[in-house]
Amino acid sequence: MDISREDQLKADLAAFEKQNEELQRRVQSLAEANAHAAELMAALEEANEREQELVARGVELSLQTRVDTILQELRSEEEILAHVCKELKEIDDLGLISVRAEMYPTAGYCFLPEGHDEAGGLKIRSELLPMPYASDSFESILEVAREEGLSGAFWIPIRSRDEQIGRLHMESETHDARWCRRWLPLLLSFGSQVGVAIQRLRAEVANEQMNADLMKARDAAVEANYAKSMFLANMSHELRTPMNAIIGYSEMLMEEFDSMEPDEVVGDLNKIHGAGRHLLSLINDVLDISKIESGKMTVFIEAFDVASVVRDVENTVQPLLRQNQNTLEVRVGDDCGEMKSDLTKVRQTLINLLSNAAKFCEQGSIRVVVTRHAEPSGEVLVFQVTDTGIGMSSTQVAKLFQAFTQADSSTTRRFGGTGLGLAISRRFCRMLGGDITVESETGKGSTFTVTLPAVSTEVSATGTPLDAYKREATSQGKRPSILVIDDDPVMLELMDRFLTKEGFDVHLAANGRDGVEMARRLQPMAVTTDVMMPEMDGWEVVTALRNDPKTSQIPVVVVTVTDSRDMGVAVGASQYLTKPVDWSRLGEIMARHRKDRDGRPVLVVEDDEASREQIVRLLKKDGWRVLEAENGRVGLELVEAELPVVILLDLMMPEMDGFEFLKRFRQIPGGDAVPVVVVSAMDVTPAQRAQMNGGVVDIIPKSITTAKDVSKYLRDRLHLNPHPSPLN
Amino acid sequence: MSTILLVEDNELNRDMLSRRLQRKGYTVTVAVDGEEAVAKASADSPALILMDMNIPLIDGWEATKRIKAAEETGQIPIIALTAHAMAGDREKALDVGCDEYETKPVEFVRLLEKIEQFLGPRQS
Repeated sequence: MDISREDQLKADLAAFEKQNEELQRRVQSLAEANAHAAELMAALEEANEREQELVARGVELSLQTRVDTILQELRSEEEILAHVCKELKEIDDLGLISVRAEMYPTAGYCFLPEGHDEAGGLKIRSELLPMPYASDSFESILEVAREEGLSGAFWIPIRSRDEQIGRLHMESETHDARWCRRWLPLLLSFGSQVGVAIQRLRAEVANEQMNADLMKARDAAVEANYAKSMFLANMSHELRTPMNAIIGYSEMLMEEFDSMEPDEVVGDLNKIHGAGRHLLSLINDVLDISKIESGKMTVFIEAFDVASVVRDVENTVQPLLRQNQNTLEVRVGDDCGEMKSDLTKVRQTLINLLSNAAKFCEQGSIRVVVTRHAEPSGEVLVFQVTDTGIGMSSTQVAKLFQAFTQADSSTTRRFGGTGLGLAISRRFCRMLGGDITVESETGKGSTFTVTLPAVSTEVSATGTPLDAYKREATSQGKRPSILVIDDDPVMLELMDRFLTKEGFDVHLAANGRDGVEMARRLQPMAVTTDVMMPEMDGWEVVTALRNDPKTSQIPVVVVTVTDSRDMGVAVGASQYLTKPVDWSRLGEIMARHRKDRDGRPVLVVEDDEASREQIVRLLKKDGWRVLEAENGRVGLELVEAELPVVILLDLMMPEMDGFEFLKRFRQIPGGDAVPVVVVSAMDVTPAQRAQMNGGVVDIIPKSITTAKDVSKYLRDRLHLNPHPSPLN
Repeated sequence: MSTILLVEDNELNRDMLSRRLQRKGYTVTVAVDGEEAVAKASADSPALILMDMNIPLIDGWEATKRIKAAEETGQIPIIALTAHAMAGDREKALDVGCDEYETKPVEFVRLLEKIEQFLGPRQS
C-alpha cells in the first residue's frame, strides 16, 4: 500500500512540477508578452509624439504659408491683423477659443520662453507687466492671471526687431505645460513674423506718403515756376511794347525832324512821353511786388482827410474814365472825417481799383461809396468801388489777388497791365490791418470792397499789432538772458517757451529796430534773429550789432527759412539755423554760450601788489580766469573789453578809488548785473555804505582772503563756479 | 510800289511803323487783329506781311497758318514781330510758316534789310 501511496505522491509531484513548469513558462511568456507590450506602448507613444510633432510641423507650415500670403496680398494693417486672427482661430490643433489683435498695447502680460524648469515645463517670463512673474512657470502665471481676472487668456507679442508694436490676445481651451512647450515657440515666432510684416507695411505707407508729399511739393514748385515764367513772358511783352514806341518815335524824330511840322513833333513827343510814363508804372509795380515779397515794404502812418484823398484819386483817374466813356459817381459819408493810415498805400489802392473799373468797363457807370462804421475791433472805413463792366467768373475771382496772374492771358492782351495791381493792393490793405474783397458776375460787373481800420498800426500777419509781442524779461540778471528777434508771433512764442524751459530769461523783439535797441540796453547773453523782416532785416540786425562796440561781442544766431549760410558768415553771425528750428541744436548752441558766459573772468581791482597777487594766485589755483587792475581806471578799461562774472574791489586806491569805480561801472551796459564784492582793509562806515548805494553784494575784510579760500566764498555765497576748462 | 500789310493791335506801334514804312516808300495797309489780317492778306494782296503775334481774336500764329494754307496767299512772305523774346519763339514762328522773325522793339534798319531781302531794293 505504501508503495502505491508513494507512487501516487511521486506522480503528483511530477504533475505539480510539470504544472509549475508550465506556470513558469506561462509567467515567462506573460513577462515576455508584457515586455513586448511595453515595447509596443513605447513605440506607440513615440509614434504619437511623432504625430504631434508632425501636426505641429503642419501647423507651422500652414502658418508660414498664411503669413506669406498675408505679406504678399494684404495692403492694410487692419486687414493683416483681421486675417491673422481668423487664421489662428481656424487651426483646430491650437484649440483657441478667441483671438484678437491690438497694436501698441497698454501694459500687460506677454509670455516669452526662458528655458525649462526642473519638471521639464517651459519657463515663462512676462514681457511688459511688473516682473514678479519673471521666473515663474506658465501655470503660475496663468494662476496669477486668473486671480486678476484674466482667466485662460494670454498675449503673444507682435514684435518687430526688439520692439514690441502690438499683441495677439488669445484664449485657449488648454494651456498646460505640454501645450505651451508645443505651441508657444511657434506662436512667438509667428508674432514676430506678423510684426515684421506690419512694420514693413508701415514703412511702405510712410514711404508712399513721403513720395506723395514730394510729388505735391514738386508740382507746387513747377506751378510756381510756370507762373513766374508766364509772368516773365508777360512782363517782357509789357515792357517791350512801350519801349518799342519810345525807340521808334524817337528814331523817327531824329531822322525826319527837319521835314516835320511843329504840331507833328509835339504829337510824337506826347506819344513818347506817354509810353515812358506807362513803362515807369510797370516798373513801379514790379518793384512794389518784389518789395512786398521780400518783406521790405514799409508802412508810414499819418492822419489825413478821407474825402480829400477820394477827391484826389477821382481827379487822377479822370482821363482813364473819359477814354472808355464811363461816368463816375462818388459818395463820401459826412461822418468819414479823418483816418490814421498810410496815405500813399490807401491812395494807390483806390487808384488801382478805379482804373481797373475804368479799363474793364465801356460806356458804363462806376460808383464809389465811402462809409464809416463801428466794428467790434474799432472804427473802420469801407470803400466800395462798383462797376458795370465785363465782370468775372468765380474761377477768375479765385485767382484775382495772386501775384503774377491776371484773370487770363487773353485779358492781358486786351487790357494790358502787369496783373500785379490787385495783388499789391490786397497786400497793402493787409499791412494796414484791413483787406479787399470782391463780388462779381460775368457780364454784370464787379464790386470791390476795401475795409481799413480808421486807425492803423503796423500789424503782423496774424493781425495783432506787432508791438504787443515786444517783451523784456523782468528777472534780469539772475539767469542768462537771450533776445529773440522775429516778426512772426508764432515763432516768438515757440522760442520763448523753449528757451525759458532751458533756463534762460527771454526778451522778445518783433522787429529789427527794437531788437538792436534792446540788445544794446539789455546786454543779453545771446541774440537770435530772423532774416526776412520788414524794415530792418536780419542781416542788417547782425551788421548793426557787430558795428556797435556795446553789442559787438554778443553772439548772434541767425534763424531763417532760406539757407544762406554764406551771407550769415559774411555779416558776422555766430551760428546759423534753418527753420523749422531743430530745437535740440538750438539748445546745444545756447548751452555753449552759457558756458562761455560762465567762463567769464573774475576781476580783481587792488592797488597793493602783494594782496592782489595773493588773491589772484588763490583764484587761479581753483581754475578761475582772472583779470587784474591796480586801480579803478584800469579796472574800467578792462570791464569795457570784457564783462567779468564777479568783481573783487578794493576801496582805497590811487587815481580812481573803489567808490568812483563802482559808480561808473554801474553805468556801463550789463554792469548792474555783475556782483561786486568789496575787499577792504578798512572798516566801512555807514556813510560809505550809503555812498555805494547798495551796489555791492558783500563787504569782506581783507584778512579773510589770507585765511579763507576765495573760491569757496564765491561758490558758497554767490553760487559762482569756475569754467570747467580754465583758459589759463 | 510794294504793298506791305502791317498786322499790329497796339495803336502807337501801328501808327509809328506804318508811318516809317511809308516814308521809306512802301504802301502800307493795316490790320488790327488776326481775322482782319487773314481777310486783308487775301483782299489787298500785299507783297509782304509784318505780323505781330500777340493780337486779339485769332493770334498771329493761327493767322499765319491760315494765310500760308490758303492757295492765293500762301506765297506771301511773312515776317513775325513779337515782343516775346523768349527762347523758342523764333523756332515756333518759323514752324507755323513765318519766313523771318524780328523782335520788338523793332530794329528799324535791320527790319528794312529783311524786307528788302524779300522785295528787292527799294526804287525810291
